[in-house]
Amino acid sequence: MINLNGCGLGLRSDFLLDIKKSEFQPDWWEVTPENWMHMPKVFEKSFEEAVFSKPTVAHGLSLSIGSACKLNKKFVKQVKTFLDRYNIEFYSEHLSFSSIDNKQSYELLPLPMTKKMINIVADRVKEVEDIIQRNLILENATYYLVPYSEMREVDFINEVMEKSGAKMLLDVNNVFVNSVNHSFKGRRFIDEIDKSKVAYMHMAGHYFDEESGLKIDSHGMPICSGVWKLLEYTLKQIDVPVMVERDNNVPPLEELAIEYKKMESICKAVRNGK
Amino acid sequence: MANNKTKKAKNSIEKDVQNRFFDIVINQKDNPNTSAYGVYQKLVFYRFEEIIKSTFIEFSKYISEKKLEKSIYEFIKNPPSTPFVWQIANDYRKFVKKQKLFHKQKYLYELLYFDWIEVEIYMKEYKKIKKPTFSWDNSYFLSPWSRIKKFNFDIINKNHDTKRENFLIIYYDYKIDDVLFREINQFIYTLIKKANKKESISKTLELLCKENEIDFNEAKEILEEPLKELVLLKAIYKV
Repeated sequence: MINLNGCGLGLRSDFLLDIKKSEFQPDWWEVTPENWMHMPKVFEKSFEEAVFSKPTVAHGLSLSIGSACKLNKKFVKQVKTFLDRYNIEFYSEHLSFSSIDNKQSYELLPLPMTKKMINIVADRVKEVEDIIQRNLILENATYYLVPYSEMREVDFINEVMEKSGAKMLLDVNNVFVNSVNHSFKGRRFIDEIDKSKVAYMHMAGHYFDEESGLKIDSHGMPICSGVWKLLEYTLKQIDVPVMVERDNNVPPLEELAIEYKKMESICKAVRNGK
Repeated sequence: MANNKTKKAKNSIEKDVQNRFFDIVINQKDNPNTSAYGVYQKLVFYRFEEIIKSTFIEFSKYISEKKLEKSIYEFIKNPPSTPFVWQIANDYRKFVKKQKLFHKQKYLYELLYFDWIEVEIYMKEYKKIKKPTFSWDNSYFLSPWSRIKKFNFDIINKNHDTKRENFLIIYYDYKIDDVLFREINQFIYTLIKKANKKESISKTLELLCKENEIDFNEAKEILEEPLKELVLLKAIYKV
C-alpha cells in the first residue's frame, strides 16, 4: 500500500545541511509540511536533494482533523501544493484536535471518544482527501486525560479507520506512553489494533514528569527500552516500515544514526525470525 | 440572547467537550479535578515561549523573565490562527503593541519589529531577480526580501532606550545568505516609499524635489551611488 521499504527518519533542519557529507542515509524520509512550506533559501537545495533522492512521506501537525468545527480549507490546499511540489504521495496526521474556531493551541489535544466523533472524523477525512487527492493516514496520539469517552481507545481508533477508510500510522511510543499513563497493557492494545490498516510506524522518546506523575511524549529523548521491546513485539504481528521521530533536543545526524541502526537491526532480526 | 441559547443548544457533546477543554488549556484556568490539564497548559505555554524566545533574541535580553512570561500568558488567551508555528511571533509582536503591554519601554516594540522582520525576510521564498542594473529611466520597487522602516529609538547601536529618529533598509544579502540592514537618509526612505510602477525613479525624484524645494540635478548626483548600491544588493529591483 505504501511505497516505503525498510526504515525511515524524520528530516529536521537541525541536520539538513549535514546530510550530504554524512555516510549515513536512511531508506526514506518523513517531513513535516508546516516546517518546510516556508524555508530559508539556504535550506532549499539541501531539502530538495534529500526528498528527491529518497522516498518521502509527509507528517503534518496543524490539520486538527478532529475539530468539531469547520476545516481550514485554505491550509489543506497549501498542504496539497507542498505535496505536489515535492512528489510526496503519502500524508499522515494526528487523530486529535489542535484548533477550534480558527484559534490554535499548537498542541495535540485528545478527542472525545464517541460514535459521533467517529462520524465527524470520517467525514473530515473525506473532505481532506478530496482536496489533497491522496489517502490520509492517521496516527494514534498521546493523551494525558480522556475528556469524554463512550469506548476504549483501541475500539475508537479501529472504528475511525474502518469508517473513514484512512490508514493508520501506529506510533509505538504513544501506545507505550498511553498504556503507562492510563494503566492498560500496551501489548494488548497492539493485539487488538486492526493490523490490516497500519501503513507505517513511529518510534520516539518521552520523559517522566514528576509533578503530574505522567509520561510525556516529547520526542526529545532517546527511545527507552520499554518502547524498543514493544516495537519488537509489534513487528512480530505487523510488518510495515518503521521510523525514528525526533523533534526536540535533536542530536547530530551521526548520533541519530545509532538509534536508527538499532531499529533497523531489530526489524531485520524479527523479520528473519531470529 | 434567545438566538445564542438556541445556537448553544445545537452544539454537540463533542463540540462542548472540545470547547471546554480548549478553554481550560488556552485560558490557563485552574482545574482541581486533574493535574493532566496542567500538563496541557504547560505544553501549550512552552510551545509559545520557545518560538517567542527564539525569534525575539534581542528583545528577550531587555525584558525581565517575569514580564515576558506574563505577556505570553496574556497572548495565549488570544491565540493566533496561523497553522505555522514560526508565525506565532508576528502575532505576539502585534498583540503586545495593541494591548500596550510595554508602553513604559516603547523601544521594545521596535526591537520586536526588528527581530521579526529578520525572520520574515529569512523565511521568504526565494525567486530569481533579473541581473540588477541601474538607470534613472527605470521604475524601481522595494523587493519582497526587503523592508524600510522609520525607527524612533537607536536600536541599531544598541542604545535601545535612547530616542533617535533613524531610517533603515533591511534586506536579504544573497552573497552571504543572511539578513542585513543599513541606515539610509530620510530622503532615500521617502523616495523608496513613493517609488511606483507607473513612473521612472527619476520622475518620482523630480516630484519629491519639487515638494521639498530641492535642486533636482543636485539630488540626482548625490543619490545615484547609494541607489545603484541598493539595486546591486537587490534591496530594490526593477519592475
